[in-house]
Amino acid sequence: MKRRKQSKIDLPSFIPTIEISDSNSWFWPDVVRTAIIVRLGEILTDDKLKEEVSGKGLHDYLGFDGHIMLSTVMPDELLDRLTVDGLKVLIKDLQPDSCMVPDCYTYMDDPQLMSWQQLFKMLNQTQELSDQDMDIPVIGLVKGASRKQIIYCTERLLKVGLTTLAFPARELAEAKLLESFISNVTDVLQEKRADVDLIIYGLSYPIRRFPWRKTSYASMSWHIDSKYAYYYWNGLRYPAGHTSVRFNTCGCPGCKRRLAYQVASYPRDLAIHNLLELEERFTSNEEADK
Amino acid sequence: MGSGDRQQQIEKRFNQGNSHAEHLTPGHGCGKPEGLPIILGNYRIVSAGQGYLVLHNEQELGKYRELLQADENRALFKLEKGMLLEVTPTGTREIFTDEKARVHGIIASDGSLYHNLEQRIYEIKVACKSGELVDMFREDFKKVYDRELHFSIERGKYPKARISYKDAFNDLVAYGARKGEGMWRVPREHLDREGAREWLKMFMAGDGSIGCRRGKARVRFFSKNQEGLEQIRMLLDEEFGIASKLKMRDRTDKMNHSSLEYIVEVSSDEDKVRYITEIGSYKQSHQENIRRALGG
Repeated sequence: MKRRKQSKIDLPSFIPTIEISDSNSWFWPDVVRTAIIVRLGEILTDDKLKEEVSGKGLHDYLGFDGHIMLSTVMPDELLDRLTVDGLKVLIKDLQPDSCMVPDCYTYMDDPQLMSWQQLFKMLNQTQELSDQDMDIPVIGLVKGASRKQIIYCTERLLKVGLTTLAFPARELAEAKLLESFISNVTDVLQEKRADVDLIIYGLSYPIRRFPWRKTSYASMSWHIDSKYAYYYWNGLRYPAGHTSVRFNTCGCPGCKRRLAYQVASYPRDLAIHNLLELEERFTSNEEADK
Repeated sequence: MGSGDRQQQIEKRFNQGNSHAEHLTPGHGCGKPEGLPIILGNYRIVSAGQGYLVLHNEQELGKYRELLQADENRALFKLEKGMLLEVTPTGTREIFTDEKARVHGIIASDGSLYHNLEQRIYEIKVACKSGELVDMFREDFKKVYDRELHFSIERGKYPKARISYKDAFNDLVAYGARKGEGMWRVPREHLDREGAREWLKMFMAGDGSIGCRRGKARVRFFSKNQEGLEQIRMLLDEEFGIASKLKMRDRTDKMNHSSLEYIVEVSSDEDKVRYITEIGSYKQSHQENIRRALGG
């Protein structure tokens, strides 16, 4: 297997995932951030949107100057139809700054043969993308339904020479499997003394004393919660009309010193407030871990 | 996507926990409506084999076997464990059936959930003075989880119904009927207007009071769970336009055992009348007070 070391991406501690079809999640120019994540699945399920974005490219469509990462974490039926060639065409049209390799599905309650097949498919696609001298950095996905698969997957991704690895964490956290998953991944990274960055995708809270220094988190909860008028405050989530926060004033670019329940009527402003509050959690966790 | 558990993934995405819709049998709902396809904003409901297919922007959202209600505002599909899928022009969400809302409400007020991992106990229990509420809980639980509860009346104690059933336990915990005293939350996102009414009516029967003095009603909810009562206050306000206030009461006893209790009290006379006419309570003594307050 060829090993080509990729250039590193400079990622912040929290990367906001946005909803491309909902401009309420487009927080710029009020808030300046260096990177965002756009979900390819969203573009693939809306033909009109796909046509529009492909014509302009992501940067022009969104009017965003920073780093745009394309996420391939999407529903299984869309993954089955996504090929490396198809992804290359999409990358050419959409012009992101980095892209995840096509995702796969590895379920613990499936026969192991199925998860191994999926894993091999994903790793072969990763190799294929890496071999083809892409203009943009490729982000590897760590998957696996067992310890053996997770270790195997991490080792293979390191051999390919990827410098950034991501893993979708939401479902693992819900199934209380995240801790063991992380320890399996970081064991390999430590053993191989790998110089890679990790992205924990889909988690809206930081993990205390995370065993890997170079870690970023990515999620969209700040925007999803704003749709339901939830207001983030001091690391907690409240309905904006809750007595603990309703008369709360905040000087952030979203709230502009308005009361919490007043901001709730403006989903974009509330999303900006929630984003800044959420980022604060990740920043303070980073400082605490130092 | 696709980490963890496939069954969980399917349950979450398609709400039914069954990916093989072609094997589904026809339901007992309203039968196939004549107005198919149903258009609700970007959602389209079409007939598919023995069930129904819900499409969002022409992408398949899921297949469902029973369509319980369909009009120009919303469609309701029957899901598992007392849940319904509500499709409206603005989106979809899972909501409680009336039975599940009552089960959740009574557990929050007069019920408890107890878990012992070593002994594999997942106990759901309701004990209350009013036998009719326990009977109602047993009937609703049977409809939601298809299990019979054990019923007993011990001397000097309230009638109680209990069961150790892991699936139902985990389901109730997932919807906020937490373990421990005063640890519940209102499952606001899963309650439509009907569900909210049933939940409040049942909670009122357990931990509320509707009094009548000089022909005037007094409507209050009690709990040690300040957060939960705050959610009740908001539910009353948002769903029924009933204004109420959250108060605190110190119930420290003579032995100096400190205990704080919170109360949500419906404020104005107009709102009290609205509460007792639109919501009410399942407790017989409350219903008598309501009749007296309304001059019946």
